[in-house]
Amino acid sequence: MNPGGAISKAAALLAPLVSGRTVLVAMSGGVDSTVAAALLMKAGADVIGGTLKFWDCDRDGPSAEAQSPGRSCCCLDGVTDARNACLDLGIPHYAVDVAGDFESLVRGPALAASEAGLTPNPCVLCNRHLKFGSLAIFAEGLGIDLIATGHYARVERPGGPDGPAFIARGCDPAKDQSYFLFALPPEVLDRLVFPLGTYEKPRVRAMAREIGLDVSDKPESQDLCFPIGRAGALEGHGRGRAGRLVGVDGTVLGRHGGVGAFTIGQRRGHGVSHTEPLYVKSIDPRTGDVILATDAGLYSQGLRAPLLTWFGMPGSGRVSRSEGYSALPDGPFRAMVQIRYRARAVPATVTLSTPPTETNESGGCPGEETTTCAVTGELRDMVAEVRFDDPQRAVTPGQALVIYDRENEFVLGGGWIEKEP
Amino acid sequence: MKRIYLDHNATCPPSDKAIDAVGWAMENLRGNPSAAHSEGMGARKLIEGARKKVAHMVGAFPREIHFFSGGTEANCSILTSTALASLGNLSGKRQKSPSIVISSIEHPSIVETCESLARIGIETIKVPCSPDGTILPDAFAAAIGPSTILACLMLANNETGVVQPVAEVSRICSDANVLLHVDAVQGPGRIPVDFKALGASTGVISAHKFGGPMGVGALYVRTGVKIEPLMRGGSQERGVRPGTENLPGIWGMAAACENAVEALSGAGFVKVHRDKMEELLLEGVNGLRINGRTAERMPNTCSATIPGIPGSDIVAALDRDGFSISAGSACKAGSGRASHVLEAMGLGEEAACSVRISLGPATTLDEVEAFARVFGRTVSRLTRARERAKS
Repeated sequence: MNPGGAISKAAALLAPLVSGRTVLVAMSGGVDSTVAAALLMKAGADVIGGTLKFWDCDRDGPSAEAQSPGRSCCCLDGVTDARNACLDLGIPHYAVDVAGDFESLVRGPALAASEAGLTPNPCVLCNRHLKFGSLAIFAEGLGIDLIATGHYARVERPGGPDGPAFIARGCDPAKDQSYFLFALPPEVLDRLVFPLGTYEKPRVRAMAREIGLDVSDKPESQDLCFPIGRAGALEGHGRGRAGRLVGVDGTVLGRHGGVGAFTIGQRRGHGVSHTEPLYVKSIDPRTGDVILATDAGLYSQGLRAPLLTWFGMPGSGRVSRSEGYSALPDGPFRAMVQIRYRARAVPATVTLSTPPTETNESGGCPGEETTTCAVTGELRDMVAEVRFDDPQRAVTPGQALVIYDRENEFVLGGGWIEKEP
Repeated sequence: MKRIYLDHNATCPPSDKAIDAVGWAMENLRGNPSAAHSEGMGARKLIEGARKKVAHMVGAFPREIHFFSGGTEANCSILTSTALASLGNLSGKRQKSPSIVISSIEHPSIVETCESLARIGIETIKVPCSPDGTILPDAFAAAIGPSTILACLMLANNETGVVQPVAEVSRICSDANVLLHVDAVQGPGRIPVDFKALGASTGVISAHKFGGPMGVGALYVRTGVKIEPLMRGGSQERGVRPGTENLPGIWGMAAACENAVEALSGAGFVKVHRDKMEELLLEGVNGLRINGRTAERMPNTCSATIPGIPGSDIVAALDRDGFSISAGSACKAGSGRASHVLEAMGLGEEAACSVRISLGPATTLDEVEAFARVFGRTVSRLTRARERAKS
């Protein structure tokens, strides 16, 4: 290998962290995870590949996803690709069966949310419960204390080497995946390595070529691995209640076949023509009403989101879950908030509180007395009230609110956006 | 690190005799056994010599042995050709669907072939299994009826090692005038396999399970039993299995038969080692259960359930430490699917928390003791990891 090459340089930077240690790399067979594994090997780590099996092909046949061309699948092909990548690298490979957990902790809740008129983000759930949940348990069971993935993100300790760890944005703004990692269990952060986080995609492709990988034809393994939303509803998943299409003034404009096919801000699919384009403004899963509005009607001043995780403020002490959220900032603080993956973070003022048990009337969490997340069913005890500096378009209940620090670098925490009352 | 291989039911590493035989055949045999010249005759002589050896091992006449590509092909072939023949015999007047009676613990090559035959109107009746892993002859008798065209009962189960009451069931079948197919793939080298004494109409063995090469097996067809071939395109193997014979494989299989006969005489030692290992496992792991322990079993197999820990995690962790075992049977390895055999024995969810350890003729006492130690440590570590995650 070219000693001056990209891989060698990158490996040298990684070596102090991983040399001599054993690392389990989550492999998908795709370019990113394979390069991550190669980097770790070059950096002197003892690398083992692991792949999550989300679907039991033997029991249920090939998944619908596996049969659509161009779609990546975590079914047998995905496992086979990952295994072949490991064979080529010369590292062991283990498939970890998480089909049951995938259904109960990711796909099931996501479809339920869709039927409830929310737009869920299953990748966040998968990261939390499977990639950095089940896979982390598997690693620990094998006596392996580090886990790595090909995510474009970083783990940093802004407070110094003994300070708490935070998820930080990857250095490639176009590829940064920190947004999907906000819900990682905080205790896992100390065991995480993201070899690709400091690189931009073109550099990673160069590294891939260096190790002889074919970078051209593989679809990125980041696509949703099961149909949901509009695509899902077309196939009968998560369709939700049928009902009326209604204007903001109450006029009935038409009918639709299921709330699950719609997301806030969506223009297509409702089939209603008007002098101006109409977009989905809100969804009521109980009546089945989908409210349509012109663009001007889509803006919100703020939102409310019960939090799944809170990592603390960089520079102050680390908050551990067992200690509770005692290190909450007092009063409102300035932050950058991101309300969907494909949106830039925007400045906002955030206030955190731990409300006593309250009845949630907003409809975003169907019929519960305590603050319970509609998407995951988990009890939350901290809520973020966010006031944007400028009104934001199409705030979508069920999507993730991720709070970054003022410099827009570190993930402070995040949760699911609630429906406005 | 020297690895210790304890997955002999998945495959038995080839014996030196078999390796030499395969190599020798490839170097020295230069003709198609069906050809009418000297090279052909030389090859033909070899096959017939091999046939004699295989027949001798299983209590058959040489003409009753037909070479196939393995157990799976032979199983599928018998089931499918019998099914097709039965449909051909119905003259338009169909009273009841023809049925095949199989035990609920057969190998997937039997189970899945039967499932596929539903499409052409063949019903499959599965005889339930008792909790100790044996099929009860009475249950078999109850399942057989006037529309039964074939029955299948394996000699010894690949996952649990439990030996089935084949001789008794074959009497039931012959009284009812029903053919009995016996999958004896796991038997050679561990327990006596005598198709004649068992009363099987047809039977199957596979070379790589007793130290022969992969890709070759044999179908036993008792004299007088007529079967339709599934494949067409030649008259090799008396028309039962056309296609140019796998000469090197067949010669390797014959050599392995000698190994199997030797191994059988050492089966007592294997049992001692397996029993000692089970004792250590039971002592060392809280809550561990051995499936089928009270039944008659092959001397080398141990199916263990460790409640709460997925078998595949144990397999992976032990692999890291140099030990090879399996969770569920090898064909399904990596699929995470729970064993239908253990489910038939009533294990429910715990079927997925099970592993299979299968010793070989050369496995030593030291090796199984080392294994039991590491197994205990591994289960502790896996248990702690899960408990920590829950808290």
